[in-house]
Amino acid sequence: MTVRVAPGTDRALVELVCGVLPVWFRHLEGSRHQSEAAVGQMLAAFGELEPRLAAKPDDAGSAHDLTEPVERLYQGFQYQDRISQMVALILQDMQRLQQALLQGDSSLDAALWLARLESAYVMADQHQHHGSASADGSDETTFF
Amino acid sequence: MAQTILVIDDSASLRQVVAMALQGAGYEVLQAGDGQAALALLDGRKIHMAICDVNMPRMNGIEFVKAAKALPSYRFLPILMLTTENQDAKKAEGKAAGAKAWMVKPFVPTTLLNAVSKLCLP
Repeated sequence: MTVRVAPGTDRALVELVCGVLPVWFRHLEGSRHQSEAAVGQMLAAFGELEPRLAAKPDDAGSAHDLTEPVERLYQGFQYQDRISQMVALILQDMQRLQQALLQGDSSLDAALWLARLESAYVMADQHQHHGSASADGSDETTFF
Repeated sequence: MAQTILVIDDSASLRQVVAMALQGAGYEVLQAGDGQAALALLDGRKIHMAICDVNMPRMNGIEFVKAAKALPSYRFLPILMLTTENQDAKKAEGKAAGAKAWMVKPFVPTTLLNAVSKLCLP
């Protein structure tokens, strides 16, 4: 595909790409890491569950509580949602860049671009991948 | 008779995980993929509580809370926001809209069930 870039945008484009690509990379790398960790967590939980489920009721230790590994399985299943949100945001940003280039946007600015991307973060992990401080907040349940 | 909980999230897998946890504890579950679909379920039927995501297409969670609270039959419906967002500013938005609690994903089933038992209408 031949892409026409408006005159004068080349330098800004290089700066933009050099600024944005490492951020995209860290987001995708972070998502990949979380995905692996979630599967690892679920496999470990399943590994603990399997012998307990297979144990006969009168086996010694068969009364081991299943709650803890089951809860870790539940948590592991939820990582798909987090990872999906992280990746979706990066895909949107890639599309936004493609559109800007195709439209010959001459106002490309790396700092502004990254600030706009950062404003869309909703998770502390995303700020961490970006290399910025996250907004104040706690993961504790809050009752109003 | 089992209490009915409306679960609203655009992630089908997340809805399924929440539904499994609730059904395992004896609750009945209705599901909706966004706020607009959830509003369509507020048609006079008895719902004891709603668990709602924040970021969703068409109608987000905060908009849903406001819309639900504007319906006379559902004015007192307890709504727990279940979301990946943990910023204080967002929580304040949820509180102002009328949500009763805010929980950050990924949730631990026991913690969710404790919150549900605390908030669910009899």
